[in-house]
Amino acid sequence: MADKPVDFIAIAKEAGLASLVALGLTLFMLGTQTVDRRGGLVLEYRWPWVVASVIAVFVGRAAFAYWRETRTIKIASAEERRSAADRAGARVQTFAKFAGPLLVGFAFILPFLPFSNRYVVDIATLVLTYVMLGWGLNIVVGLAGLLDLGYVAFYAVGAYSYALLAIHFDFSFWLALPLAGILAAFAGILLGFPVLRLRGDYLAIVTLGFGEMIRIILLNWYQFTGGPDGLSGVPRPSFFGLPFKRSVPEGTESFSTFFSLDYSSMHRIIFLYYLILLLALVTNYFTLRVR
Amino acid sequence: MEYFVQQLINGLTLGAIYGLIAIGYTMVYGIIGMINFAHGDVFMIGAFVALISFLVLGAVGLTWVPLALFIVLIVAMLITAVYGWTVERLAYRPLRGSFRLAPLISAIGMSIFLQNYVQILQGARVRPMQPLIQGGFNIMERDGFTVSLSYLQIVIVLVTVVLMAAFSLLIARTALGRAQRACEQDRVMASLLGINVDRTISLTFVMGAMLAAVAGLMFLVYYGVIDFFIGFLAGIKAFTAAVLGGIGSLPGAMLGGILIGLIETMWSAYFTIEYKDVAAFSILVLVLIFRPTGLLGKPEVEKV
Repeated sequence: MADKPVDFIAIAKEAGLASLVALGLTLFMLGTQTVDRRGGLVLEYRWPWVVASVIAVFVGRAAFAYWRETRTIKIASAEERRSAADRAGARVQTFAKFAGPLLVGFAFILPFLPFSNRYVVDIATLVLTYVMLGWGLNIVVGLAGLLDLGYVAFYAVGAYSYALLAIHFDFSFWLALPLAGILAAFAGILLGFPVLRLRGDYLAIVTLGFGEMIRIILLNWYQFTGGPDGLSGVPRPSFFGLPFKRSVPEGTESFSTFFSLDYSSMHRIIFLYYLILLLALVTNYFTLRVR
Repeated sequence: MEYFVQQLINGLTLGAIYGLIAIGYTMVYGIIGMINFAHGDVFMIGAFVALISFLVLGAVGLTWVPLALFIVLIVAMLITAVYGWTVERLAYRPLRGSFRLAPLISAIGMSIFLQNYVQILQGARVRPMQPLIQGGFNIMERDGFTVSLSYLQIVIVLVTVVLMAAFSLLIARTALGRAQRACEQDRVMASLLGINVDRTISLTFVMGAMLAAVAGLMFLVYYGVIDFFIGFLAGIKAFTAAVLGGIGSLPGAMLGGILIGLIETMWSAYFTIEYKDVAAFSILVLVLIFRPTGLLGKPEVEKV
């Protein structure tokens, strides 16, 4: 129980102010909607939404203030909070020590589990792509402490490298894979020279600008990149020279004929999944080494 | 020559809009040393509030343009100020005293949030508006090329100049401006001397948001189309303007804005219009590398 009586008038005042702010925020953006009609824009009104959000803010703020005034738990000091965070971090680390290998094992058998279908494997491939991106970003931001907001530009460089090399020079996936990495590394060096003289938020904004520049160039250099239409007809990766195809020309073999399997479109998906899984693990190995 | 003069007029108008947004960046950077990434989106909110206010006034039947413009200006400034205040209160104040990049990342998140907020609530398609002020002067004419100065451009430049003067006076002469300059120099000392630092910072955001709202209104009436994504490019260009002029300096922001507006207009007039944004970003990179203090900025002394 609280020692002093709860000041309901003060709480009502505070909640009233909060809901006044909510009214200002929602009155125009939420309360009205611009709609295209013949002869120009017209407005449609959604007053119930405004009323609902204002009431929600009032009730929420009042409940928060009441909880704040009557709570009996004392506020933890900064020291206590830090040691609590340390303990939680240590628990996560012990957990990771056991769970890590298990989860990697799970990742390896995922395509053959009963619930796996094309959708699951596709999503898992996407997840692993982002995991790789995250590990790469962790080198720049986490280990080097440089907030690089244009990191995705290198993602684009890699994708366009493979697409252009494969379309124009018939490079195979396996040849283009290291080449794309090298090209992206060159882009990184090119960007790094001027940019690394800067620190902190200036670095952040310049890298953001570089990322945006690469995006604009890719969108506008139509002859080279296809602009907003993109590039189509990028050849699909093969299994060390064996294509994933239902029918291949006489005398050559496809993945399914070589291994005497029935053709399935899942083969290619699963192969891609393992490919990205291996690449992600290699990335993980190297990022752990550079630490 | 006529072509050049015309581009000069267009560039100055665009530069005035950039300058108004840049002031918001420069004030916030001056006082808490963070880049308020969401400022460009506050500008976008201002443009949308202005559009909705125009439609409301049209529905009510108020069509006398000067009065409508004035009312919309006030309404947009007030509502956008609430947004500026809320952004600071929710996204930046809890992170004060946290590590240096935390508010920056939080600001990027806020920027994405505001974009999606408007996209969901007002739709993703571009919103057109009828031209509000038409006509203008023809300054000179030769070989069939007319250099025209529209009334709208005059209004935009005039409003900008008046607001610039008002805000410069506010910073230089009032108690609030004095408190702001004190917080800029030393926040701890300012609070020891009885300045409410949190309140001062909030008011800085409110002032920045008001100027952004004016810029949004002008963008709306000048271009006649807005969508939820205009804030990103305008914001990053205004930030370039603030850096070019010397971040932390109010006249610098205005000068930088005008320069960026001119560079962009001239680039699209004489080179390629597709790469005008690349030109603006290249200026940003070059300035940051070769003269990080900008044109009118003071060199930053590392505090021990």
